[in-house]
Amino acid sequence: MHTECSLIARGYRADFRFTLAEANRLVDLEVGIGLADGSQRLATSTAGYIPVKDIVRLARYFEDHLASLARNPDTQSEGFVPLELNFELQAMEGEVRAGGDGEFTLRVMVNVTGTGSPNGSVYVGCEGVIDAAHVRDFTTRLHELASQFAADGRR
Amino acid sequence: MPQRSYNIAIVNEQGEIVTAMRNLDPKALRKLGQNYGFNPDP
Repeated sequence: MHTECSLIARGYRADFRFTLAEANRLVDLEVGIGLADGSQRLATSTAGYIPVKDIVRLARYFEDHLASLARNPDTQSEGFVPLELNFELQAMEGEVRAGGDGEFTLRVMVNVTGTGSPNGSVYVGCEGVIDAAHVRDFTTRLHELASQFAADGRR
Repeated sequence: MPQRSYNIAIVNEQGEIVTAMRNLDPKALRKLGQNYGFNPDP
């Protein structure tokens, strides 16, 4: 069974596809990047295990970044990586105005070779501006999914 | 000089191995350390 949610930036999108394994009750995630209008898929990460609490950690990464931007537009957060390093995000400088409107630069890199490949991992990515409103939609969806997965007994 | 590489196993609170990875470069190990709160430079 698969469930998806997406980060829609200005010009590109990152689609997060969760796979729910029945045998071990774990959740796998792969991330695909492409143009925002859907006309071109650029790359898809390898699939990697993501603990449910890391889905919450991903949502909080963006929530914390938006809160930091409201105080300092030059905020550049450290990169976010999951346990199996199959993608990497970095939220960077931007602006959040009174009322919560705003935008920031987001880099999304997907690991297309997997960790441990003899020549090292190869990452393919997109970087561009994303609206705070779209990020909030994404974090809301992540919290919903994490609650749903936890209620379903997944780890 | 060849770059160091690391093999790691990650264990959950129940003591189960949840993932293991080979040939991580120092940069990858550092990112994991920053994200998961361990010292990546033992």
